[in-house]
Amino acid sequence: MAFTKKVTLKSSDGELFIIDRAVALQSRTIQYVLEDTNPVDAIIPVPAVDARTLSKVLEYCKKHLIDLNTDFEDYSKWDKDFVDAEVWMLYDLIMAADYLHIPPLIDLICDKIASMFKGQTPDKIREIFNIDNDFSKEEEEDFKKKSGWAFK
Amino acid sequence: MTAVDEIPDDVVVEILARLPVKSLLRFRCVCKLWRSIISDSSFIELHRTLSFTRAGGNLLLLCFPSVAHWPWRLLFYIDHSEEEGRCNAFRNDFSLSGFSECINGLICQDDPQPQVCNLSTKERVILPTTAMDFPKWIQTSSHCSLRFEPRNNTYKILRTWKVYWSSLVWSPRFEIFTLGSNTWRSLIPESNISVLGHRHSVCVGGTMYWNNLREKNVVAFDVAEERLRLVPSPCRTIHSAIVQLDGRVAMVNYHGLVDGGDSMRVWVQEDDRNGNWSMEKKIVFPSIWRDVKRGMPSFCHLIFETTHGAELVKPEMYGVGCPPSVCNYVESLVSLREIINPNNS
Repeated sequence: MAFTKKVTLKSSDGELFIIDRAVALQSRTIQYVLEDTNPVDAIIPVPAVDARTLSKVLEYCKKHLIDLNTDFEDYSKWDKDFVDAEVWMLYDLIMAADYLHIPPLIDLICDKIASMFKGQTPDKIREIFNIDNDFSKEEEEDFKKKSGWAFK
Repeated sequence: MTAVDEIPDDVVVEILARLPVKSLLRFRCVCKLWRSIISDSSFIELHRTLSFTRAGGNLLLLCFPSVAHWPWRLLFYIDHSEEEGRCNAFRNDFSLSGFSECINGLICQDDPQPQVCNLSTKERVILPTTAMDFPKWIQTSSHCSLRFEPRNNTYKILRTWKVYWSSLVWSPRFEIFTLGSNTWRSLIPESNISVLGHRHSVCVGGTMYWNNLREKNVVAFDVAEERLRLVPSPCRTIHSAIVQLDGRVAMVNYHGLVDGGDSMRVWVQEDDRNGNWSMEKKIVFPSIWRDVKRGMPSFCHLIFETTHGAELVKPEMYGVGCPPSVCNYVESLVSLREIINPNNS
């Protein structure tokens, strides 16, 4: 039975995760690896993701395995709790989801980060993302003059 | 919140595309890279697509025309993504009345002078008054509608006039404006075309349609060719509404409902040039219809959704003197300045 087959993933810090093949297939990156090489009992390295983040991603993949007994409502409540985390954790998760290519997880986290940023000032955003302000004082004043209502 | 290091550009794009326009106008001044992302046309397109489903990105606009003894025009928006469907009033920066359908976040209106606005960015362009040379003593009224023409990537405004030669006798006039040009251009239709149904027009595949009220035919306006013509209607246009159904033009005849019956009929246009329509279906209303009709003031509109099982709801809008114009509005960053001065942004 294809559903009971196991796959072993190895995180960047060397931890092994033995999971159902069906769970791993939600990652398109892993899906391609499995289709290409079809490794039997081989270990698939995931060099861009550490153990803590990978376990969280796999938690998501297990929950989102198509389960006909779980209705949509259950997912949205679970998803909401899943992304109720610090911004650095969300950042690690999105980098992992991007690398493993799991579009619904990318959507979920981007929605969450966007909702956290919605009301922030440009100063606060620069602080969070470690971005240098490369605009001159005059240019910045010009923005505020042109669309001042957005800064209120 | 603690700081994170180097977030890849494609992830930044994914996050920014999910933000309201108001936040993006602020975040344009985070840094030059973010400014160029937010101004990029493919980003604007992605953002608009996501706005259809984003909470707060897809609004229902309600505009009550001015009522006697009450000089204010009000524009409300309803955020139907929220459970309660909160109703908010726009700040009175725009005195909108009888606005057009929303096209890529832009709407146009005719009062007090023709203009196009992006309600999300609050950008506005005032258009020239008119190219028509009406005598001073003559009374006129007009209506504008905005259309996008993807083939040439242009926005056009069709404006229909009613020119009153006396209080009862009026004749129609047509003019068109391409956004970015300087003048209105007059249009001469081939046949006797009514302007009365223009407010209730639909646009399918680059052609606008509205009922030619007095005749048994439909007005078609090809936006690219700028040609007004007539196509046959499947039924009398009295008690009929022209609508869009699955991307095709459809005609709904509700004469049966008005005439004491309980059904309406729907035709779908098969072929625009030859005027072929196919009978889609006859819709029979549940028995509650008769009770609803009895208690319904004549000015109220019934709105019902078929997706939730075609349930009829008794409207609760008593006390409002005239029906509001309603349109769907999707937030967008589309820049009017760039449409008008494409090389000078």
